[in-house]
Amino acid sequence: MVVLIAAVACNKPEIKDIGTRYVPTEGIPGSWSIHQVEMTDQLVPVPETQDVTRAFEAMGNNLTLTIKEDGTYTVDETWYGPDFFGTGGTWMLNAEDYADSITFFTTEGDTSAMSLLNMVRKIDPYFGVKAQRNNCDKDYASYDLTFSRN
Amino acid sequence: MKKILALALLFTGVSMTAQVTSDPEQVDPGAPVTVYVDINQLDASLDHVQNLLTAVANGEDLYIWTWKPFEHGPASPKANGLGATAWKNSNPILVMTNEGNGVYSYTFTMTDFYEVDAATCYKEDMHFLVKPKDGGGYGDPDLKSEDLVLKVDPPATDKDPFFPFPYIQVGQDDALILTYENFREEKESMQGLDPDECYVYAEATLTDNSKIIIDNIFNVGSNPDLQMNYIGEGVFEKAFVPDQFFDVPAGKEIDFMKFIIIRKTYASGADRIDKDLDVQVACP
Repeated sequence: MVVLIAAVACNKPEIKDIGTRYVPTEGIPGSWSIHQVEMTDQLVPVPETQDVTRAFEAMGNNLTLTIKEDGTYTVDETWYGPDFFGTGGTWMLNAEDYADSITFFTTEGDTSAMSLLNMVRKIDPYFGVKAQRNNCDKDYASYDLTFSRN
Repeated sequence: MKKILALALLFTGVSMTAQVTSDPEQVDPGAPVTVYVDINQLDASLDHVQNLLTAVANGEDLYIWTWKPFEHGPASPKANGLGATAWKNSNPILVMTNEGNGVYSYTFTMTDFYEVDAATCYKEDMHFLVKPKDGGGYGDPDLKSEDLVLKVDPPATDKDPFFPFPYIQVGQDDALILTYENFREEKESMQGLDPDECYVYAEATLTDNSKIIIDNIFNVGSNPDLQMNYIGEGVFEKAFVPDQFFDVPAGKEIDFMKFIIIRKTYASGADRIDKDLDVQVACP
């Protein structure tokens, strides 16, 4: 019995192949619909965040992004909220392998640079960005926009 | 006078944290504050505190050594200590003032000194200790206080029962959430509203001085778009995008909005709250 235990204990564990390397943002191309909207009031002494999704849902707003691998994107919207994406345009990440922000260049000529809120592999169901609001020469609020994969 | 009061609090041992207090007691991170430390209130059973007290008895100065809300690196002129053995050589700019009777003070402005914003100060508080210029270490016994904290809390704000989110500024294409906490209503005739009898009068003034009034105050109670949603516990809310809610014509801009909570059946001033809610949209 002791010999058997010793023999088992001496077995070298099998080290499996770590698998193919993935790029944390390779899942961004795809079709995404707005899922949750959180807003942070940055003008109060301690910034406060609230889920404001219902403000958009209550009035039938919808926002769908189709992000393509060729660097373009289109917007299908019934959206009266902040216009971060225009009607479409091009997009780019700030780094190929370890991006932490994405910039949308709208066909209307606007540029929206946003922080990525999560890694987006092909298996990830959500894609989040943080967008800043500015008025009267100051940042007053930010939005965390979370999209779900269609 | 405030300084006398702060010192008196220390001497009588009734300050919030015993060893540490400040003047003003409510710290504004963007304004000068004097931090007081009473070394008589430190835990003298600790060897390093005993060593500190001995150093003070021998006439040594005390220095602040701080790491929160932010610790400046060794290359910074605001570093806690200078040179390769920083703990043995406190930065002269951090020397404290001897107020007598074992009380030492340091005056500074948090946001200037730490180079962080007020929100970070509120979140992190001020963490520090006091020590002589040479704090020992490197094989020598330490000379220092225990870790000390000066609490930095945002000013208390009493929200009205009817308030917006965001609180101060909103764009006409932003989300806006109006909340009415009827359980805090002081006006007797408006207390205890039923879930289906809370409505909101809504008016937007545009930058060209024209107004959009969704319904006049006598008709508000029959317009379902103006009903506040009951979310329980005596709280009502309405969430919307102002641009869409008021159906602002293309090219027009909202200057400010006015909202009034009213009872479904509005007959007189008794059926409305006393304080209108004004929400600024355009830059003031």
